[in-house]
Amino acid sequence: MVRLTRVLGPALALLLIAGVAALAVVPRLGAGDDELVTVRALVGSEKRSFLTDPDVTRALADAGYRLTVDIAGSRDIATRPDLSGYDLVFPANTPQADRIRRDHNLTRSHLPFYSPMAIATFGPIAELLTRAGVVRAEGDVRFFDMRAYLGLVAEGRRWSQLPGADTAYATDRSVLIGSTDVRTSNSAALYLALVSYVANDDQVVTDPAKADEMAALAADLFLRQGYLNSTTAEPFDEYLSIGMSKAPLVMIYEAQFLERVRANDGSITNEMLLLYPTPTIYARHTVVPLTDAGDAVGQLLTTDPGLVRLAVRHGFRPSDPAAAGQERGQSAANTGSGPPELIDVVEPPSQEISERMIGRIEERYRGGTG
Amino acid sequence: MIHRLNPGRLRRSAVACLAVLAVLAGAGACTGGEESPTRPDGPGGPGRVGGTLHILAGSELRDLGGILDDFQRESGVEVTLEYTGTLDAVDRIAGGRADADAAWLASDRYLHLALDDAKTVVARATTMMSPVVVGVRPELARRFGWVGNSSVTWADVAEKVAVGELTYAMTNPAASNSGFSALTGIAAALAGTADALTVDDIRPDALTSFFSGQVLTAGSSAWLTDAFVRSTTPVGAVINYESEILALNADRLRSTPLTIIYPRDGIITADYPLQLLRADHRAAYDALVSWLRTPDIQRRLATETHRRPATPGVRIDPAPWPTGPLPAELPFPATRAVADQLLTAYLGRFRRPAHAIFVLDVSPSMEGERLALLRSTLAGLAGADDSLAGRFTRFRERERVTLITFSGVVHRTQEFTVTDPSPGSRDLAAITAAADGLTLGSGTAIYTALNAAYRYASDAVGDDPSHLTSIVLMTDGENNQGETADAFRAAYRALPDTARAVRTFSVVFGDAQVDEMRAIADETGGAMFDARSSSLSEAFREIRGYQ
Repeated sequence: MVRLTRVLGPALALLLIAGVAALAVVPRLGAGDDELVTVRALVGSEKRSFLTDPDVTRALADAGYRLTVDIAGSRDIATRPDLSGYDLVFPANTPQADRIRRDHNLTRSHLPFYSPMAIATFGPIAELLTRAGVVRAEGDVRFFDMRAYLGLVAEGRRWSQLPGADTAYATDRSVLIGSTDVRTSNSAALYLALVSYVANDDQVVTDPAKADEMAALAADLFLRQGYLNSTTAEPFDEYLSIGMSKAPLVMIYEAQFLERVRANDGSITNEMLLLYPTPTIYARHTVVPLTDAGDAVGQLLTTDPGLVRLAVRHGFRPSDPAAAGQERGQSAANTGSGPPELIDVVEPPSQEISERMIGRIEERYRGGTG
Repeated sequence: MIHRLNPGRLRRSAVACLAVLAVLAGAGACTGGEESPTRPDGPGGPGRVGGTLHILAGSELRDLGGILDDFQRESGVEVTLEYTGTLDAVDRIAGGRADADAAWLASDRYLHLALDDAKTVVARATTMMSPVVVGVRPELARRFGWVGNSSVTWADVAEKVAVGELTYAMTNPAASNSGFSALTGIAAALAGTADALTVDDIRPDALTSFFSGQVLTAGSSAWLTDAFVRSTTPVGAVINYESEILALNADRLRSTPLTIIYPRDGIITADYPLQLLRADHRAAYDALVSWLRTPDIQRRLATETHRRPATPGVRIDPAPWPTGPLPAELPFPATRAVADQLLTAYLGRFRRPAHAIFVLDVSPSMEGERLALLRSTLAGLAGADDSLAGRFTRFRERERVTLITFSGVVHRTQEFTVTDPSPGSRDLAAITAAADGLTLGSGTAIYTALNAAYRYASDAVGDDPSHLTSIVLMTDGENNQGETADAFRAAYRALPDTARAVRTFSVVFGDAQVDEMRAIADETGGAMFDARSSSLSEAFREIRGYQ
């Protein structure tokens, strides 16, 4: 690099001044680079910013590994027949990991961190929903009652019909949580899992007939939103950049919000709030190693204190209880307190039941008139 | 490479590429591998990445030239933009014929509905934003009580149209994203649901009434803005990107800025996603995305293009737009079936029908391949072109089509009215037969033919003012007979206002004189299209967006 800079001379001078950070993202240029073991990973989009963080790259390089990351939807990862060429896959949840292990005859897995589903919203919206009996506060934490919400949806309630809406949010749009496309995105699949649990009298759906019934009920939650983004980063981006007009309520991973708070980059304004659905559900990000090198990286992500600390910086909750203690010190929201302990957490249905429900909703889309 | 002349106001070459940088990149300075981990919102400049990025781009992005030049200089990535219409882009990407590393359109929603399998798009990042809004002439806004009034709805706009107090300009939804966004938004708003539109929600009567006020249409948002300002018959409002209207208010309409209405019942925002189509260009793509999304560049985009930042946390102070909260975003249809039905109904039922007058050169130089291309182009518009773009540029229900052929003299004037727009119908077959029957004469009398066309158009708009009438002039040579350009200009200027409002879209083909054809387009408020750099059928399809 230095030699080339001399050759190119002044043309690059400006770049080098501005480019210190850019250089930092390609650590260990030169001889040391050759000694690193390259580990190819196929991961869900929600972990991209963590796994490509220069500090993560550096920490892995210190341990002798260089990670190259391909991004795919977790549903796609779980159903992809050919994973050859990869050292590890990293879907967003355990049912998908279980499916991969079964289909590919694998035994190992690592659970480095997890993140509960949460709902990003704005102060005025939270107030409207508090009055409507959907949101309730316990100390600094606000909970979002899924059952009460589904009641509003069943009544076809519009924002403009909620008491106090004329000054806060006078749109005729229906009260609906914004989500991603359930056909492509894991966060939408977890939203579907939550809805199916609540609508199934607080039980995880286990039989196919019930799955069909729940899918029929839940399909409108997606179709009535209209066009939906296919990855979880996008609606949250719209929440941050367009704001309340586009995204009054967005189903996200808690980690997405906390990552922004901890980055302190000015993107989270005072009006922005996180709601915890009751019940909620965890995305248990699971590494499934396909090779020994992949296994070693999975192990590092789970146990290396530096990497665990970096995962926390990106908003994740470490699975290791010892590491979790240190996480408490990190500020979670504008209030400065840590992320709350969540008690009302449900399990997702099996991957087969989840696929069946999504398949039924897919048929509604293909029906076309939606 | 499709190099298309920007109708109305040509600013720069389609290829925004810097030779200097190609040299630097060629020196091998920048061979960043695919795995070079750049962060989407990472700090600092792009670093030396190198490589190339050929992007299929919406015509809206022509205003990015200088900004992209700077990216090339800093990164060594050679960026080329190939401008294309939305539906043409969708056609190519969905058909696996994109022949580009990335796509950059004002919106990718229709594209994603058209792509059953979203894996065609490897990655996607929004780059900037602009809502589609209504810019109203200040005197009208004052009269309507709309100044500083945040409660105006689409229904209020519709009411002013219905009573004949408001006309407006809007792009053709089949040709341009701003028109398509407006159509889906208005259809949802007038359906009264403000939720995602279903087929049952579409209100044909309300929409027909609303679009009766659309007196000016266009295939591109920038041209629409230009035509709106220059229109000889005043147009009351323009439905367009906020960025286009802000640019007008800061410049050409500084003394009489338009009042911007953000309809309370909802807007649709373009978010300019940059989409990676080829994974092996990831490094160059990532570099461009992260560079575009840095706060400094977002601020520069806001200043130079009046588009809002897409990067969270970037605030523009002072902002060129009102800083209060925007009205709710209206949902875009969930399925392609709804979107297509809406487009088809707009073209066939809601909009004012078109009267397309084609003035076609059949001089001897057209013999052979050129005449064959002209015939197949007309046959394509009459239903033979089954591509996506072809389906939405066909002759429509209620449309009038006139073919005027000329060489040294005017040959024939043939009139058609389409009552049945289905491919193979008797109406369309008649147009195809007329195209097949084109025969050659001798000499080229462009202005004699154009004068005849305007006399014809003058009678036509007098008889039936409900149609939106325009002329398409196609020639492959220079005027060598009959009336002069000056005589045409004098005759044109002596026409009544309604006939002078008929625009001529000129098509440069073969050995046609660019200056001559441009002058005709400029004189009549039309636009010139160059069929030599694209193709005759592509030029005609693009013009369909303006009819």
